[in-house]
Amino acid sequence: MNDYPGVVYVEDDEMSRMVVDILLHEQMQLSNVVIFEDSQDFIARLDALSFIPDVILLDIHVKPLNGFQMISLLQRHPVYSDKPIVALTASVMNEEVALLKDAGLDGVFAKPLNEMTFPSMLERILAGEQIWNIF
Amino acid sequence: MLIVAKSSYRLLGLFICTLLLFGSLKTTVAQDAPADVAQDVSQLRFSHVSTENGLSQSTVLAIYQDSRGFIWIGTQFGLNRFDGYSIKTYQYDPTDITSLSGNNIVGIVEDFTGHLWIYAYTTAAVSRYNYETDDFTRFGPGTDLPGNLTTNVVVDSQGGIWLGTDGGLAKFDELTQHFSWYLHHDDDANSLVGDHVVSLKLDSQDNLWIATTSGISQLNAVRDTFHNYPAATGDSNGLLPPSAWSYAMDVFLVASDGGVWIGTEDGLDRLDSTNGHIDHFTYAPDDADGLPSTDVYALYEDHSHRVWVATHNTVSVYNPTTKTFESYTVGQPTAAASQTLGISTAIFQDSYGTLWISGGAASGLHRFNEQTQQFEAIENNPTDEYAIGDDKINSFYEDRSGILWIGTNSAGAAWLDLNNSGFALYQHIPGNTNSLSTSYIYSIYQDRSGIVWVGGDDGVLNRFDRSQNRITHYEPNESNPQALTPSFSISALLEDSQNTFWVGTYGGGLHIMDRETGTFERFRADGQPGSLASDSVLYLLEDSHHNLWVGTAYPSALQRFDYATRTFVNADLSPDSLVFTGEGIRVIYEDIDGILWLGGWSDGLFRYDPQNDSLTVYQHADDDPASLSNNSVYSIGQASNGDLWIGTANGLNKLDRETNTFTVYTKQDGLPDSTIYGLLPDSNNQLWLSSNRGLAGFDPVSVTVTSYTDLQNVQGMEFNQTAYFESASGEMFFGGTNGVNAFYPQNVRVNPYVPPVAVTSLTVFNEPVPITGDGILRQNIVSADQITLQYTDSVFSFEFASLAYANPNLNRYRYRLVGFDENWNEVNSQHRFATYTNIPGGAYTFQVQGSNEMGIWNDVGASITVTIIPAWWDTLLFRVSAFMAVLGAVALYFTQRTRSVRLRAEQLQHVVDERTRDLKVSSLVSQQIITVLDRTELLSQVVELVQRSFGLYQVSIFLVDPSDSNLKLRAASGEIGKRMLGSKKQFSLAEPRLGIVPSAAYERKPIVRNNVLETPTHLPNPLLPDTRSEAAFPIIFGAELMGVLDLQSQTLNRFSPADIEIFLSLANKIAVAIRNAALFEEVQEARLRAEQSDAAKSAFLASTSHELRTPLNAIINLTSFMKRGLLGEISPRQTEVLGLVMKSGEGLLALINDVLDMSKIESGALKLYIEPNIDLQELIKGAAATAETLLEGKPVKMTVKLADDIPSIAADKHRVQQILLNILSNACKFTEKGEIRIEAIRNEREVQIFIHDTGPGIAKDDFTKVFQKFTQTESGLRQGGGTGLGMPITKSLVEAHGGRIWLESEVGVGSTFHFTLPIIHTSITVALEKEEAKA
Repeated sequence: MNDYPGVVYVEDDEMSRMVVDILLHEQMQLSNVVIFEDSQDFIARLDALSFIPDVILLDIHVKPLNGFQMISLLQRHPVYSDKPIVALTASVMNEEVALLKDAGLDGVFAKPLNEMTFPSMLERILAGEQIWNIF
Repeated sequence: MLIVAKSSYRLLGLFICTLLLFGSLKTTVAQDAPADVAQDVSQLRFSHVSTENGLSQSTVLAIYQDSRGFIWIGTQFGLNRFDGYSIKTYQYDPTDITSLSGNNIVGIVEDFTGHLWIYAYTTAAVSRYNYETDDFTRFGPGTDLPGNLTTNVVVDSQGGIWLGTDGGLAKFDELTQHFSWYLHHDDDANSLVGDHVVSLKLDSQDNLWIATTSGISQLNAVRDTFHNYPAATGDSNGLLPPSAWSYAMDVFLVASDGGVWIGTEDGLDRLDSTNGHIDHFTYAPDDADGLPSTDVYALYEDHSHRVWVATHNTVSVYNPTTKTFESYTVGQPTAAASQTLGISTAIFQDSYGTLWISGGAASGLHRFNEQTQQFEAIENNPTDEYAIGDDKINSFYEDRSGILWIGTNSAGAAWLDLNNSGFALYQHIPGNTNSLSTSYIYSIYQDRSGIVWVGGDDGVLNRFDRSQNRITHYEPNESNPQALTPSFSISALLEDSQNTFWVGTYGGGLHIMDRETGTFERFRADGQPGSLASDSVLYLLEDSHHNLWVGTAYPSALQRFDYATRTFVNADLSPDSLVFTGEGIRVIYEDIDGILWLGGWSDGLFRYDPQNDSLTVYQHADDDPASLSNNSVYSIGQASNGDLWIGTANGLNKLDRETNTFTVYTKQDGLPDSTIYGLLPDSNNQLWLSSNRGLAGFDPVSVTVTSYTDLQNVQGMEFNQTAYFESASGEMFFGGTNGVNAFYPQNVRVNPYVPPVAVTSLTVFNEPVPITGDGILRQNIVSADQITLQYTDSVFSFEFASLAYANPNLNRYRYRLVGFDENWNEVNSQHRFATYTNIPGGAYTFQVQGSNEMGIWNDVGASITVTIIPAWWDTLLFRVSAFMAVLGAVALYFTQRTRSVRLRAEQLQHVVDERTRDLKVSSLVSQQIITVLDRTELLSQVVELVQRSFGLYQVSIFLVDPSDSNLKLRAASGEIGKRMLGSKKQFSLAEPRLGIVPSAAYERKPIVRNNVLETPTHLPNPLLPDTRSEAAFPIIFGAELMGVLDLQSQTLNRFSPADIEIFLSLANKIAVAIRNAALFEEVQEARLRAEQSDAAKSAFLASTSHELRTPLNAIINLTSFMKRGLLGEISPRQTEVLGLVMKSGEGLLALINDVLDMSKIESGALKLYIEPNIDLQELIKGAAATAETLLEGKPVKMTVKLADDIPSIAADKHRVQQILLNILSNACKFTEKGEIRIEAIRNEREVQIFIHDTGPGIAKDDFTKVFQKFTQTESGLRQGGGTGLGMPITKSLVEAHGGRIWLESEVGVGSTFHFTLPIIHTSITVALEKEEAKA
């Protein structure tokens, strides 16, 4: 198991959590992975994590805080403000992607995820690249 | 320009070669001064009017000059009026019956009443342009014009207007505005031969010839009898059968000898109308004198009555005696076009007798050279602004000033001034050794063998053999004693009577050249006795006694060469040899009396008599206007009448040898510039002058100047000193900074056309004035003879044009407003406007006169009576009465007879003050309300403003409610108003009512009660107890009653007649404001509705997408994990099934994506997210890499080949990727072996991408299906899969970007999909424009 990168994922859809869980744990063999079901819970426990995540994956249609609200909180956070934040969402119409871009995210991974390209896309994000390409 | 010159050498050479071959009587070409040498084709200069100038479209089929002088240009998308500067466009507007009836214009003709008739392809109605109203009357369906399509309109010599239609022949009756019909009747052999008219022609006897699909009819000049020549049916011996005519609309000629010609795709018929005999001509391959082809494209009779017949690559002239044809080849078929002439061939002979031809394939324009008997191609050169501009020419038209107008197929209209054809131009062409070594010219000379010698700033001597088109350079070389000495320039050239050729340089001494060997003998200023005075030689002259004179600079000297001793002898200028104090002698001239005239660099003019060594000096004196104008003398010349002319750095001088005084001409006399470099008198005593501002012809008698510019092929504006020469044959040469011009003065034709002058537009406050029945302009400004302005229209301006098109920029103008301007205002073409402000009321006449480019004036010009209605207090009557009243008051005051008169005067003043104030207030109120667009806000502002401004008691507005037609109170001023509004007061308008408000509405006129207490019908409003006067004004817009403005005052007799007028006009302005507000509301509502509906659609699509993608995420990925064994081992059978589940999931995802995209496209919700600088190269490579994985190991090679200059583009990156992947994935899916090749090239404004595969290919019949929704081609269906939406979406995406997509394919070979993307997307352009507008 690898302890880099550390990943945090917030997602209220159980199936999607399962997909990402398998992807990160089983396929990519990552050890530092925390997945939150509830965005309030995520914000509350952010400072108490056992590791500092290198990337944050956010579903946008989550509750009670939606993705945009989480982003604005994260951007003001002393530790997380410079961590890449990626939307992992099924809302990938052009205008929706434009909103994410405007909100200051670093990229978007479209659902359904492509498990073949996911690791390399994650690598690119970690290298500081932005990804707005939903193919 | 350089490139033109390049071809000029070649073509000029050809031209001269052919001259030598054909002109066998001429011994040497150069010595001849041909009476009228046609200008070399490469030297033709075309002007252009295109979409860049505002032309409605680029394909020009019809050009016509109307009787007022305007040029009308008919394009495939609209009609244009052109005045030489600006375009006024007329187009079909489905909502306006007074607009043009069709846009694809094929013909324009003017009738005797000045109306233009315009007919268009595939348009049912013909349009008649009405000059006065600047609009059109349509004749077609719904009128009594027979047929559905007008194919031709002609106007006969009596003014009869004849229309040929597909349903018969019609004549228009001006009086009744109806048509008389001439139709075919089966039972009447004397009726029209057939109803489908394809062409109409008039012959010289005014017989009307009608070509129909059933044969030809001739309607005699009296118009009472048809003579019919039916087409052959079956075996009958008639004219060629009608089927062949269908396309040959205009291949119909009525020649002056009575021959009627019909050209078809099956040959040519000539009907002799004098005896009815028909000759059939068909293609006879073995007969060199026969018709060269069966296809006849054009027929033309030239001015010498030769009939020209155009076929594939030849034009033939008919010989009526032998009934044979003499053929001429036109152009060379190319790879792109197998024939040079085609269906739309046009032949035209201009008024100078030159025959032009063009047509069919892109074979260019050709001109017939009568001397060589050959057609010369006029090459198009896209980089030359004066080139013809297009290879395909549709039409020719010559206007009344001798300008040839050419309608091109894709570059608008071009025109050529046939009057000006004299100037040849020779230049340096970089990289071409057979061109001049430099374009910066200082010396030109033609020797007796015809060789032209040219020298310039590089010290190289150019030998130009024009007969061989051969230029040889003699380079300077210091170390080779037999070469030229290096110098600053070659400055003087001379062949003396002993055939010695002298080459003088600036800084390198003098040389004798051996022209046989090309070697030079040097003469240098070495200080030895008898040597050259200076190495800077400026001028060489051999006088009539065969003395060779050399003028030098630094020091200034005049020397004579002694041939015996080969030494230079200083001229003995005693007794006053000190005169040469200046820098040099620039010019030496011998007059007819043998006197030498010397031009000093800076010390004036010298008269030197070699017989007695006497010298006279002429110098400028500031205090003597009759002295030489300037001491820097550039040129000297004697006209054949003996006048001696001197060109200086400041003025042209004529010496009066009797009085020794000078007459001076400068810029003030119309010379292009006051510095005269070169000066050559021609045989008509006209002077040719070169200057810093171009070349000019100067007529000293009339003191008129004709300027020539680059439009006439003149090298440029700037000429050089010493660079001018006249050959023995009278050919003149002038050199400048951009080459050498050569011309025979007699060939430089002056355009004598006196141009019409027209006022082309009228604006008030910079807004164009519409034509209205009762407004300022009651008819088209072009035809109007008077306008009426109100004193409020205080800024008005006229635009005008001289309708002389040769070089409109050189046209000049003068204008004045008679009654206001004391003098003419003279302006150039950049200032073709006259603007007047605050002109006092009265009657004036605006006059404008204009000239053509040659300075020929139309002294009548155009004029318009301008009436300015003064403000009523500004009228004479008022002023007189006010003056009288004041005078009376003053007189009475002094006599103190009575106070009442003084009171009256004061009252009068008071009235004046009050009314002036009311007027001001009224206009202020109007100005304020016009900008308020919210209706409720508008009304409440109006009532408050009016109440406050006019000091009224109460102001209310009632509006008609369209739902029940009742008049309802909508706004009322003040606190009381609020309470009144609460009462929801309303009136029915169904019947007359007593109240003042409903009466005003019902009668639609103001109702005034100046004393309500005495008006029995007045119903007092308890809320308004103090009302003493009341007035109600209807608010009317057009014919619609919108409401009533009600005013109440506490003053008796508040509303005088003058007040009523003011308030009535205010009510009208309120009507306009309400109307504007209502329209604005409608637009706002519509926009809101559209936005809401768009937003709802987008939201639905977004949520559908989200809801479908979320479960697919789990289905696809979890299946994949399982299949790959991440979740525990599975059997091969399970692996296979899971693979199928995955594939289905992926198929479903693709379907969802496509359906969503399609719904966006269908609903118009597709938005592009355009980013600038998309790296297309990277995008293509990425897409290719992605697609390659789809090949799944098939033996297919994928290659990407991108041109180096593929730029980054402005586009939606994601959508471009989608386009690429859609096409590529199809290619990958269908190609089993071979290759897939992606290429991209850059076109002018777009990138073109090709995706080529070696798949099964697509049948031609399926090409359109590929891009249709839910259709799959046969092979696509066989292959299975896919939604059938991919390509339609791709097409929409390409088109949304402003690109095009198409396909080439052959079954069994492969397919190529092409698409283009503009480099700059239009939305970016629009956005940028908006940014600019903001800034």
